[in-house]
Amino acid sequence: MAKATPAAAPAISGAYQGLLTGSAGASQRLDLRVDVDARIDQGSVLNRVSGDIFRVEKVNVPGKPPKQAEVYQESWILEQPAVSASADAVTIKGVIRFWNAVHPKTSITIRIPRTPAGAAAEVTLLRQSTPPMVFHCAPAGLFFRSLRMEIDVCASVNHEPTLPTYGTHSLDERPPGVAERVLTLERSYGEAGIHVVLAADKKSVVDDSAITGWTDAELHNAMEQHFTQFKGTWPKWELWGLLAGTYEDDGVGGIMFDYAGVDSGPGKSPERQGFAVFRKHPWFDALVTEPKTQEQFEASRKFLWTFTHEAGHAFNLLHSWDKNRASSLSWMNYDWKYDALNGPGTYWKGFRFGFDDEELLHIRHGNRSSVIMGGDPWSSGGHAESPPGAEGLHMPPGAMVSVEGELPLEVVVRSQPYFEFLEPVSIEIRVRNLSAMPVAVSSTLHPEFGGVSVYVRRPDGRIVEYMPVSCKIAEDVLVTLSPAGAEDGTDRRSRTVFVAYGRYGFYFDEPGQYVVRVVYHGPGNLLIPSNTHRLRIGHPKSESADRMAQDFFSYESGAALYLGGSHSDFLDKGMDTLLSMIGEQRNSLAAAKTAARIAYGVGRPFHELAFDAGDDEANAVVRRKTSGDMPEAMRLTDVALKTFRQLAPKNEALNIPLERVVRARAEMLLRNGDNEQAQDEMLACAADLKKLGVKSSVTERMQRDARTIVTSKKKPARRPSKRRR
Amino acid sequence: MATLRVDFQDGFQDDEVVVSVDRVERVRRAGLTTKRVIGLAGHETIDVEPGKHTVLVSVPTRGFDTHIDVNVEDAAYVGVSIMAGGIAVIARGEPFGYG
Repeated sequence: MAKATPAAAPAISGAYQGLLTGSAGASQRLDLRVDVDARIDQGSVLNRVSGDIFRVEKVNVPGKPPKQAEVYQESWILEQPAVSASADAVTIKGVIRFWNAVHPKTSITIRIPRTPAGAAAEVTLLRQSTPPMVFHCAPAGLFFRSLRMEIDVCASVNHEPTLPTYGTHSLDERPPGVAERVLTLERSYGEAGIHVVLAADKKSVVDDSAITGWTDAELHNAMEQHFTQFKGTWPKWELWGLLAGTYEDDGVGGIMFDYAGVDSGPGKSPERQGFAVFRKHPWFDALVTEPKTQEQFEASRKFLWTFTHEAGHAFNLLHSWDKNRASSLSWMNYDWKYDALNGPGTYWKGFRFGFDDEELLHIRHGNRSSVIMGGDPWSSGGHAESPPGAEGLHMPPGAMVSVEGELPLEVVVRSQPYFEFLEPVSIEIRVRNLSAMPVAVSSTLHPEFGGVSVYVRRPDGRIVEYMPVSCKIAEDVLVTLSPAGAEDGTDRRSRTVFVAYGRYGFYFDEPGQYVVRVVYHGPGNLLIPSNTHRLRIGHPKSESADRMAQDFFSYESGAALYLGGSHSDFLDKGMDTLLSMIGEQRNSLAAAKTAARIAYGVGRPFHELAFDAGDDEANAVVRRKTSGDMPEAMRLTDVALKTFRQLAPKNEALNIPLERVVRARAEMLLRNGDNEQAQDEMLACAADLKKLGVKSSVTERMQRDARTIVTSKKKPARRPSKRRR
Repeated sequence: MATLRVDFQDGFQDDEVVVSVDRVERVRRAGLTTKRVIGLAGHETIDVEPGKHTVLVSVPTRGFDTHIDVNVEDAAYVGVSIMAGGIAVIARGEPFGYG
């Protein structure tokens, strides 16, 4: 699209912001971006309108003014706006498309009065069969999105210039007719429609005397120490840049170093929070504050390119060739890559100092979570960067919500980072009080009770909501978390949740990378999203594991696994498959975890509904089918224990499964009257866990529980605590 | 002596690469993976006599190989990428640079 010249009538493009009015609700906010006419000098007009919807939460803290937090909900785009202008107003109409989830057809009408200056836009969203939602959005500037950027400088390169400046007519090697202006980092992004605010007052000098070549991990560590906005909730429109000396590979002039997992990245989620530019790279040898020679101007131009390019990666932009646009004249292309395809010197002769239209569409109007720093992982989620075939896929509502502002609770999801193929996947959900006041939370923390929703992004990019097989209806029992920082751990509560199998089958049945996120629905309509947690499912290690997959990933096996083992006739085949997997994959974690999961059910009594043929009609009766197969259950726990004990010294994620399987064994032993053995095994396990470095509160609790077991010399036995079950 | 720098650029994923100069194996590296954020997996610098050389690059893990003639005065730079169906090699007289 051509660069537009501002029109004679005042342009109406830019950002608008306002609350929902009327009876349809009163606690939502809309960030609106109107991009239909030229308002930014040298900015392209993309002829799009887009919006982000937030829910406004008020959190009441006794004795203090209420705090306000906003929970991001979803984004949409209007791709074919019908614009009509009159003397009084500009009206825009069309049908919007939500980036996520399936929505009923939604029409939009936007009326922007021409007078008085600064009048609010009236935005009406109309969905089938629901009352219209009307937002009144006040103008919020000519830029579509706004970002605060903090640039720190290493001591070894702390001399001017530390930020880029380049006059577009400084060199003859330029596109014909390119507008003359002086470009800075702010102006480069300003022309792209993004308001970049440099936090100059926050600049700090980073001691790099011990570093000869920065690694990604060292850069990430420096960011954690120097970025004033690093702590707190993410995602947010904040970005850290470092002007450093040299990268570990001296061919690298800059890098967006904050990417997790993929390519052995240094960080964990959230990603895209920081970048670095390497001042000692040969590109910048001739860099001076007041360039005069061709070489000096080329260095200035490359300095600007590098800053803008690296920040572009933080907006989740890939290189041009990775988007099948190798001949794009964009900040995101390499000059030498372009020249290799199009002839020597052609990049700088054609490059007009901008992003291409697809990139502009992404950073101005893209799905918020795929653009905002700390949102979607790098190289995922963007409209141009979705995995092949994922573009048309939908995600459930609420999957990508995120928090802005202060909330009293932190929700964290975590697990071991790697699971073997066929290994049952469980996650830990933890809620922690961040406030100075006690906070009541739901005690269940399980999707079966509806208190949390679990979203899973599969390797193909599809996002699905984990749905449990059973839904449990129970009054929500609240527990009170102590104020933040309680040393005894009572400021938090966690629960391990089995998510391998649910209502729609197995959720982790393909090798590859998954991203898991939890949204906690707390008392008082509180909605808090967790971090995004990556985990990887490995490939089958043997032909037999690969062959077994067909039977293992079946309804019968999944249901038997979900139920923790079963004696139901209907699940016989599934139990046979699980038992043969345990036999064939012996010594693997997949077998150990499966054995541990089904052992308890195998050892328990099982009742079934049957019909007695009476004289006249059949009567439903509940019969005990079995009192439980205790020897088989103990054999299964033996299998699990052997592997857990062998691997636990190198895998701390096995500490909890180890404790749980010993508690399950103790319970079965007690049922069998073997109190001494139950006590011995629990005490031995407590000692093992202590050696493994498990917190003393956990080992002491296990010892306490073991000592409550009454052996033959004492009173009748009590069962050990069922904690963590 | 002159130097020939070989940059392993796009498309590598746990690959083995062998670089031969004038039919003599000079570099063999395994486990190369491209950092997509910079488009670079690693590099090797090879000392050669000034003059024209034939550089053969093969990727045994993919079954690909190709060659390029490079004239090296003081220094020359070769970039190797794995593309769909083969290897792309470019040579130039100045460093590539990545960001």
